[in-house]
Amino acid sequence: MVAEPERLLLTIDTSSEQAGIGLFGPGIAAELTWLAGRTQTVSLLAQVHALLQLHGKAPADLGAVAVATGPGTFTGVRVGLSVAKGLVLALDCLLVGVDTLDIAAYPVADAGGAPLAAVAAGRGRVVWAPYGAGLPLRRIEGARNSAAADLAEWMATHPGTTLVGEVPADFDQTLTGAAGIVVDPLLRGRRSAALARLARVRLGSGDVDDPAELEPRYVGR
Amino acid sequence: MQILGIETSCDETAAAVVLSGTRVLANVVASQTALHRAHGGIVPELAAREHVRAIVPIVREAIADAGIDRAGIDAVAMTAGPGLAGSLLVGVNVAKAMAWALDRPLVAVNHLEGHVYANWLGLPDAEPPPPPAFPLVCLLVSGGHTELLLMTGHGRYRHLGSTLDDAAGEAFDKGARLLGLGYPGGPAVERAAVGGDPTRFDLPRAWLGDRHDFSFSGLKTALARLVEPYRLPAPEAADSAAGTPTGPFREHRPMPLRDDLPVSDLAAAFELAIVEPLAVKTARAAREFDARTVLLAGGVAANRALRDRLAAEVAAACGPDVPVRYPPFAYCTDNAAMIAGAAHWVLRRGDQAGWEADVSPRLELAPA
Ligand SMILES: [Zn+2]
Repeated sequence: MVAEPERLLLTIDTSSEQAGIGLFGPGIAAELTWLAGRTQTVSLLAQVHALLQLHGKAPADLGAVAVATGPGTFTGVRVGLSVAKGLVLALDCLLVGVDTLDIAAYPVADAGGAPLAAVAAGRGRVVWAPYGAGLPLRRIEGARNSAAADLAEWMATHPGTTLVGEVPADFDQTLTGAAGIVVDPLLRGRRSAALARLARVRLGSGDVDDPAELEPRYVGR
Repeated sequence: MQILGIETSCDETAAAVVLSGTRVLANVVASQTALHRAHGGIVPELAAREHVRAIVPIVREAIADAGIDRAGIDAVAMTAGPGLAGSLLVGVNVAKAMAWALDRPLVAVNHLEGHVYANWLGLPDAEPPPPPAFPLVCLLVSGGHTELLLMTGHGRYRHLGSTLDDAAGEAFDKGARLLGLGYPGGPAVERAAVGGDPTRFDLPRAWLGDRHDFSFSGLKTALARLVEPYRLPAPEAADSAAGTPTGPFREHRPMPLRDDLPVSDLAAAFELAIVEPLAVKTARAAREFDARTVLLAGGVAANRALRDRLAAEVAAACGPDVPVRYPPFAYCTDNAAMIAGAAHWVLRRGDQAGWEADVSPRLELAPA
């Protein structure tokens, strides 16, 4: 067993139309995000291939795969999980599934804030959950799937929170002037580095997922 | 060459290992039929969820059954389409990731071509059958497809005809529902038809002149008209669906039928009305194109009445020297051995897929 954090880690997050992958290991901290839209199946593996090539790495060098398990768009999450499961089937490397809202929340919590993490779930809906301030991540209410107005209403009654993650573009109208802190849309997307951090914690304690058991997290209305 | 095949186009999660397109080393299928039965048909979102759940154990089992390790996989094949987009993408992405990680060729297989090439497969402990002689006419009949194809060589297809409305298997499903026989409909109708008199009720056939096409929607309407007098009034709305194991997905509640419904005679007449045009038109095409072989493929190829009637029609139309062949039962219904088998011929024509390969829910074999 290679001690963490030396194991080469590939991260995959296709929970929404904004896709992200990352490669983390000794001397490597690479992140790539792109607007995959609904073509995650077309772009994901091709981008993984490119990212590894860019760093002179081969698939067999991967020691672990961390994947965002949702919530998010059902299709996007299944693309990410399917690629992750295929990699583990072929490489027999370690697998860690991380909740997508936790990935979104992590940077704000790391800075001591109280995140309100959101992910666009398609069809004008957003799945979101509020967290307490600081690390370790502590969700104070369950995730829910709702429209923009419900999110704004929650923020109005919880002024200390910081909205982070992804919401549909027209949400920004509703949220302008809302109580609480709204991170610039360009800066609030999910980071592969956050996924990697959360995965490293679990890898360090040997808390890995069984690829046969790992399932998407579906949050319905 | 040992090819790992993965099939998730509809409601079966399947993986297989096939040697040289003919010898099946492993063939594992997890059926979701029980899951969808409560809904009277396939619910796409449920199917996709189940594929994600089942795929890893199924692929592992196939590799173990084949007695090989990962390094023994020479290529990875997947069903690219046609099928349900949400289901297809599970197998496609797993296969792509495996091929990439193992540094092996990736092969995208048309599900329909898989069904055709199931006729080249032999059971694990048997010699593979002699390869079918070209040119051949293939009747591909399943829950999703009804195609009549002319195949003049490996990978060379000509579309002769297809259904204008319901697929043959779909027609069986709808008929079975009307008769209160459950799902899937093909085997249910076949069982109910045993001992029935197919001539007691007159059901229509759509012959469509000289065309090689089929139509079954009028048949369904005619059956519904015959069943109507036996319907009981709808029961009071049962308890709400909340709390059922399948959550928000609508449950299917069949209409209650009177006990004196002549189900056996109706099933026999209905089965014959599907089988007859299929057999007659296939035999006609075989004669027209001087076929040296007639192949049956797809789940409905398991139907006894279809096999028998087709053999009789082909013998009458083409003489005794044109064999009618169909795959072993396990390779008629959706499976991955047919995908791994077809992949051998696809690779042989130099057709390798790239990492950007996508799902093709509406893929055709030989566009009309
Ligand atoms: Zn099929």
